[in-house]
Amino acid sequence: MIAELGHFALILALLTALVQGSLPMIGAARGDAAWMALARPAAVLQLVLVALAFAALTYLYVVSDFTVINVAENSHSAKPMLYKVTGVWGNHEGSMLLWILILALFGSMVALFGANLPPSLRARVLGVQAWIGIGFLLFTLLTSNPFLRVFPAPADGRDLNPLLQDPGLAFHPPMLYAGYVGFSMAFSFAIAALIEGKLDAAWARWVRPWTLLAWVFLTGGIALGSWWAYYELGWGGWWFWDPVENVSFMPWLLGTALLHSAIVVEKRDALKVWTVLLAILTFSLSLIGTFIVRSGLLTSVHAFATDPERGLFILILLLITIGGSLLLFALRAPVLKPGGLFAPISREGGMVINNLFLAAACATVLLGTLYPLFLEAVDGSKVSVGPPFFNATFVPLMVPLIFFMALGPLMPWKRADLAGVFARLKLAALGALAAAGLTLYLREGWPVLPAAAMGLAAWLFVASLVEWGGRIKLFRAPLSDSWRRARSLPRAAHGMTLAHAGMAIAVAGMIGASVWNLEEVRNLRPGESMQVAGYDYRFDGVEQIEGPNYLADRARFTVTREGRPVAVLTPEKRLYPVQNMPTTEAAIHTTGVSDLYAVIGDSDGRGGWTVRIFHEPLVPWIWLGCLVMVLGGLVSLSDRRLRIGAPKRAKARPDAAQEPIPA
Amino acid sequence: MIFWLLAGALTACVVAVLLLPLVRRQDQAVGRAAFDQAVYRDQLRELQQDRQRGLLDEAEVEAAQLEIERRLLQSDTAAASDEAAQSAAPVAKGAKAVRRIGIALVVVLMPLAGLGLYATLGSPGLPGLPFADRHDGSGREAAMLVAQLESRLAGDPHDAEGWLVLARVYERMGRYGDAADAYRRIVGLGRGGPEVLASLGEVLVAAAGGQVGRDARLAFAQAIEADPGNPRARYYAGLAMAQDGRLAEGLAVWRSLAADAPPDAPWLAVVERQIANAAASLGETAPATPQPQGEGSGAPPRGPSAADIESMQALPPDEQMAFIRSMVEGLAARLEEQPDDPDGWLRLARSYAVLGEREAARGALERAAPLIEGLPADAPQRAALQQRLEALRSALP
Repeated sequence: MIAELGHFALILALLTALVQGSLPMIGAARGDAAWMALARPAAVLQLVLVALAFAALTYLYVVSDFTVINVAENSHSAKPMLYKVTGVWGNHEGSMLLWILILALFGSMVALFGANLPPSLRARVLGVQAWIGIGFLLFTLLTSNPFLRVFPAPADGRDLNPLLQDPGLAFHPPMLYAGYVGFSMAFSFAIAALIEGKLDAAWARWVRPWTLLAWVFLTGGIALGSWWAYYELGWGGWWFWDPVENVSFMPWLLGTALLHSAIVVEKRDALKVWTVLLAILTFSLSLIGTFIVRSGLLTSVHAFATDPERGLFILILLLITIGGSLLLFALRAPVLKPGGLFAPISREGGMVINNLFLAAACATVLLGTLYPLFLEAVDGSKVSVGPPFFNATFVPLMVPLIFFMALGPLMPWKRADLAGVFARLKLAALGALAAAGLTLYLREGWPVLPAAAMGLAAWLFVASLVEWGGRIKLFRAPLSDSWRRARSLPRAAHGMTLAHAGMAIAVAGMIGASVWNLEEVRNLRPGESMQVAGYDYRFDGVEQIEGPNYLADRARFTVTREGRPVAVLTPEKRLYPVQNMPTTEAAIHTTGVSDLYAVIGDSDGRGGWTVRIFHEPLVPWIWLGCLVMVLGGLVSLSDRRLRIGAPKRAKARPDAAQEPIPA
Repeated sequence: MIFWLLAGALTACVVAVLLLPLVRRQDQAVGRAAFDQAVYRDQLRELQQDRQRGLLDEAEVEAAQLEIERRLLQSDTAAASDEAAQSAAPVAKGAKAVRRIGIALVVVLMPLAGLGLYATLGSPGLPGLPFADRHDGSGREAAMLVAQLESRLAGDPHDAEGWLVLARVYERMGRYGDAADAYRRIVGLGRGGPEVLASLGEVLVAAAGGQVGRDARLAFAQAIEADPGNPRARYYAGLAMAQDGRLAEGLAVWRSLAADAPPDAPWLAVVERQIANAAASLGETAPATPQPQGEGSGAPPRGPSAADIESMQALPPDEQMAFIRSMVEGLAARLEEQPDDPDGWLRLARSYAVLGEREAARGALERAAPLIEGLPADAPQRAALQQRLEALRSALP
């Protein structure tokens, strides 16, 4: 009965979305306050209904009700409870439901906290949000329904792909989806503004927090995904330019551009049309990111659904959403009034440069991801576009971006004095030289390019701190004065410094990881040892252990450096009998500056084992940097300035004393 | 019943929540301009704060202030026109009627559409079945049964019957690897007939996620050796060919299997689906209409199409037999005209064998043998044909 109730709730959610997508829109066009007011309760109702459905599905997974096809296909009675729960979204149908849940969550947030939005705009935003919901609910109910039943039930389930049986799965997809779906807010605001024909600084001010929130989630989601690939796949790498990674990276690039251009709209009332286009494209890429992995176009661990019927549905859905919104843009963008002017060398100009490079980088990734697909569709030939392509195209775009990233925050609005900006960056130049010199000193063989790259990262890092230090007059005023200034500095300013510095840290990590990464493969017998990057790894042997739903060979390595113990690493090779699938569990010890990474391979049957040891310098900095960026986003989000009060009804119409909308 | 009560209550709640704003009297909304002005005033306040903190110099503050004030002024004009618009057109005429339509939509259409959609998609009345509450020979009971069997067989590993039961239970539980081990035990005890061998192959395929691997092929080959007509083994042999990219050969195997199938065989539908899929991906348009029989149509002789089989299934048993005979005769006649077709002769031989006409079957085999001999040694189909020839020969005493 729970399954059927969940199913019914999902159907009611679709109908509610239909009401929410139609009546408030008509109401906004006709100026009917009652119909506009319908949007808010409908959005909250959506959340309640979808949450009911999601809770029902979770319950079915927890009790292993195999009369539900989705549970039977993706769960198993012997699976640990954590993975029963995370398994809810570890499959195509469940992940669609999660997507819809997050969409409903965002929609209801506009409904609950959007008292400061003009009613017509709010009605339209929620209406567009409901259209997206309708598309997804229809897709789920008609082609990917998680509540379909089977009777008689199979004796037990087919279990979850063991690669996905990992705590990372608990966080990575929800974070990533929250990012993807978060950009639906910017999209809905953009479409609503196009319909209204009105886009001004106030609009940008409302869009910014949503974009920032989505960006924070997406950054976290991508970082978690890359971390998961790093420790679960056992290949020692953290980014593979895999199509599935790329499709999550593209909305990040454009979303970052959007974040910056929205600031220009808010502060200077300029770049409006471009910002709207960015909002549309960012969400379009999010949709592609959600769907391209499911349409069967790409195959990877993430390709849950490869089914022609679904593929067609997805294609139509993408066509309507992206094509329709771009058409609306073409028709209505000329209506938007152009705004403030600025000189090429100014804060605005810096943002334009940032946008140009980010958009170009996104285009490269798009090309590298889709080109093989098109080629295969056209003449059936398979090409693989891998790291060499991206190293040759993406990286050169990032170099000037990072260089200018240091300048932008130091430039004032409208027009700036470039000489003055460079004068303030002396310290950053010094830092860059120091980092490059240090790299040359520490590494043999005169590594010029890596040294220059490390210098660039240091340049950005120091410049971010210089800008922040300048604002609080660090070392130029008494420390107590600086402290007072830091306290009164808007949180968004702290947030920017953190985000930029985090980027610098992550870039340093990426350079280190790709240039100085070491890999050694040996066949070792118990008692033998090998040396990698100055660390001795003694192979103590392998023991058989039995997990809740797997068997494993667990190896033990004692790591020492010049005789002093450093760590004990216990990598595992697991076999999940239900799916008869082996997985590797790498053992990682981090020193903060580098990772020691051990993987155990197969036995050669004569007492020896294949052992892979990676030495990964600076890799932990990648995720440290991402964490700092996320932190920056959160700090910025907590800025009081992003929360504008609603106009009191009394201001507009002195005769009525009530609040405009009953909350 | 409880489900319908709850579903009804849920629908009622939804309708009520949506209805509330529609029936409640709404005050005229605050004009759009007022919301814009709130933002601009906020910006002005921030500007002053930034100046106090010394983040901006006077010139910057002045320029920004001017800009914001200009926007504020524009917004004031807009507000005035807002007011004018609102007082000029209070609420359009006929608004009441439109509002009623909205109410009717929510009250009538929502529950009806919900019911309709649910009736098409849902499975009302199918109770839930948590794993812990199951009494259908799975769940805990199955686990207990398995434990008992395992301990008994540990004491008496020569009990082939016991292994068979255990293998079937494992298979049902989805423990294909364990099931394969159990089937292998039975084979090891010398009790592995064609059915056990075919089952072994099948669980190996299931364990490999649908791929017919080497061990599975071996098992099916042994099953066919023991019983050339074994449908499961033949089905998977065809699948193995298809997975090797030899789809045409796989299709031929499935067609001969479908031709040999008793019309009420439960697996026939699966085979037919495979035939249809394979034919479609080979670009054949076969299943739609029955192939024209004989008369030098030039097309290579084929087995009965899916449509043939379908129409045959609709016939009473004696007519079915007659139908099969007519098909076999059609094949024989065609082969007399175009005798250079070893595959056709082999199929004819099998058909005769199925019909019980051993002499005719042997005759057909004798026609096939020299043709196969005559094939070049590296012809791709040669080995398979040879194998089928041997299998048929050994099946005919």
